[in-house]
Amino acid sequence: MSRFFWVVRKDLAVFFADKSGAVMVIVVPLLLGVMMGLIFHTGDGTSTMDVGVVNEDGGPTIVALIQRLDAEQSLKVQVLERTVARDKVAAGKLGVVLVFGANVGKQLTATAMFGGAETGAKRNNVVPMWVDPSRAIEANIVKGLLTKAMMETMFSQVSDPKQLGQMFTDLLATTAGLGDSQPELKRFIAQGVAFATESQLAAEKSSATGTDAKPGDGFSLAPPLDVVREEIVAAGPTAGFNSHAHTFAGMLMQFLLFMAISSAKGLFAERGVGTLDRLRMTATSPASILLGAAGAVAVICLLSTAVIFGVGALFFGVEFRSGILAFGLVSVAQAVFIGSFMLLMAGLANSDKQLDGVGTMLVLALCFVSGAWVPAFMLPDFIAAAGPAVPTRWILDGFAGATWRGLGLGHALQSAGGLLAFSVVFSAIGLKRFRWA
Amino acid sequence: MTESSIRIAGLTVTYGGVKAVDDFSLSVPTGAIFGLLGPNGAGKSSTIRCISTVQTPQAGTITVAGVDTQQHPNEVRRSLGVVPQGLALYDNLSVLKNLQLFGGLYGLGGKLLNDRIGWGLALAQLEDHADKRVSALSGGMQRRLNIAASLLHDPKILVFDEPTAGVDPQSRNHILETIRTLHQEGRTVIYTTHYMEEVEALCDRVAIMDAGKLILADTLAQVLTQTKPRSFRFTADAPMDTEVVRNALREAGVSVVDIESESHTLEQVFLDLTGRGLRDAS
Repeated sequence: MSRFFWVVRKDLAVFFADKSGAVMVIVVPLLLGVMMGLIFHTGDGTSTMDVGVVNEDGGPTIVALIQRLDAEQSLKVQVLERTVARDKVAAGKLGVVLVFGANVGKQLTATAMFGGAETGAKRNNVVPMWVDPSRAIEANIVKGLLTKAMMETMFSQVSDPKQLGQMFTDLLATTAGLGDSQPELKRFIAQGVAFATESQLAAEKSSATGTDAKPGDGFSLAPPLDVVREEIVAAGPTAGFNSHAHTFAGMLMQFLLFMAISSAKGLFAERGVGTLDRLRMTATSPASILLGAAGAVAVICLLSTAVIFGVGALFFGVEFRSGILAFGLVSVAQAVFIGSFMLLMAGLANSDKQLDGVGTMLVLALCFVSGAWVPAFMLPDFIAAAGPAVPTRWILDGFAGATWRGLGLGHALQSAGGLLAFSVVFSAIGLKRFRWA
Repeated sequence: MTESSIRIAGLTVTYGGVKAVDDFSLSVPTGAIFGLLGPNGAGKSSTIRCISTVQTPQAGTITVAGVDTQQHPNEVRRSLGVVPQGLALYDNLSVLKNLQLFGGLYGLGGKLLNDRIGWGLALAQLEDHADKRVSALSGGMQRRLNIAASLLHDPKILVFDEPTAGVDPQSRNHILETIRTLHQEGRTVIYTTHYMEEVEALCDRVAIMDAGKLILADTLAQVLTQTKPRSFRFTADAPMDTEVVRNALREAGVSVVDIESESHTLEQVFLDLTGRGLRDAS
């Protein structure tokens, strides 16, 4: 056995001599991964957000509008009193509350689309939306769904061809004074009158022949374009995003980077008690001692990765869609990189305090920039653009490609190559700068 | 003992511009037990680190068994066994695993490694404690293991850096006996300590250094006669008062029948040469 392997063996023995510490390397990232996975779990799209509604109008139009909102898959409506609703938003218990004041329902007529049915001082066309400032994204979603529900409510009022005809007749009268201007609007209204008349005649004919047709049959409110959701990943149409595959990779990487800092401290401790000197006195080269320590870190990384993704596969639906070989390649590259990161830290810092300060800041920055905490698309553009220059980004991209994205062996090779390139540079710096005394 | 196992010439070691070792030269004859003495901060540890090849001096050369330490450090390490001052052991590993590690790193393997581990356990008298963690051993046991771990590769030149610091009398005696045995087997020994009686009991040659410089180097017997006696015992031909003797000596007119000088101890010589002020290591 070469001296390098003796050093690896020694560091592994020292590491596993502290059994509780060794267990922590598995348990902590696993718990963090599970927790973060549950937080970011998008599931089958049936998750809902709570929306408060204050109904001071009380009329059938607003009741129907609220029912439409409640029928939305992504919303769960709570009807509340004004003061209760306001208190809940202020306390952060509700992100958004819609306030339908008195008489606001009268605005929800089909003709409101063209200028409003109600006029005068009593007109109330304002719907206050109380928003928790920290949940602005929810507010935008609710506003969009409210707009949709309002349009449906307005159209539903004209599902009867007679009412539809009346609406267009009223509009025709309203626009008579426009003369020859607005020809498109006039053509649209004329077509609407014709459509309503045809619908009414068809309904009367059906009634005379005794068929079951009802007024409004043949009148469609369906949107002209249908949006059909389709998730696209390289692994094929059955594949989908697995939040645990992402968070296990992210939390594991973060924990392993911190473990690398801890291992660098171990080197400093050995330097302090003289064991490093003693190792050198045995004709073991400095490079073998440092690379052996990095090798032990890499082995521990591989074990952690295997256990954590194994648990992910068994209990959290993580799949290796690019095959085990691709996953193994990325895992090995990550392990080598973490070992080299330990060397870099041991070379750059010269004391435990420096390691704590610089190391912690660097690890947190690397994790943030690479998207280990929040999805990369939420990061500022300039950070996203720096992706390839951030080694940890290669880790997360590599694991995403090897697991839920299923990008294949080629992508894994690319990620592993990037990581190994960083590893060579980091190791060289660490070996050159490490202070032995 | 004309041949030198270790030859140091013009050794200079600096830390941040401060000279810890200043143009230090020394020759350690083959087969000697050589005491290297000096107060704290004298430069002993820096000298030993340079001999051990783990520190590069700013100037000077060292040869160990005729091999230059800077040009062929690995060759030097194979012939050198250095017992460090600190307990440089992995205290959460067992005695056996420590010996396996250091034996392996010295390039031993298979039966030879097992044989040398058995030898080391016997040397340290730790045969019954092989599976114990180092942290569970007493201070004396740890010191003995510290020695055994440095000798697994059967080196011909041994360097002991304060090997008895903080051990009980039994372990100290065992360690000194071990060193005597190793010396009798033909090994050259360099021994540093603050315990002068150990050097007097063990060493045949002594070097004293202070402030990075060599003050003297000679046989122990020669070192003990380096300074004139400072106290006398005499018998006058008649009873007399102390004052009379003092006056007589002052005037040099007293007839002294017998004057017997009191032999110096090595500690007295050492203190005379290096002063009595405290030398706390900085």
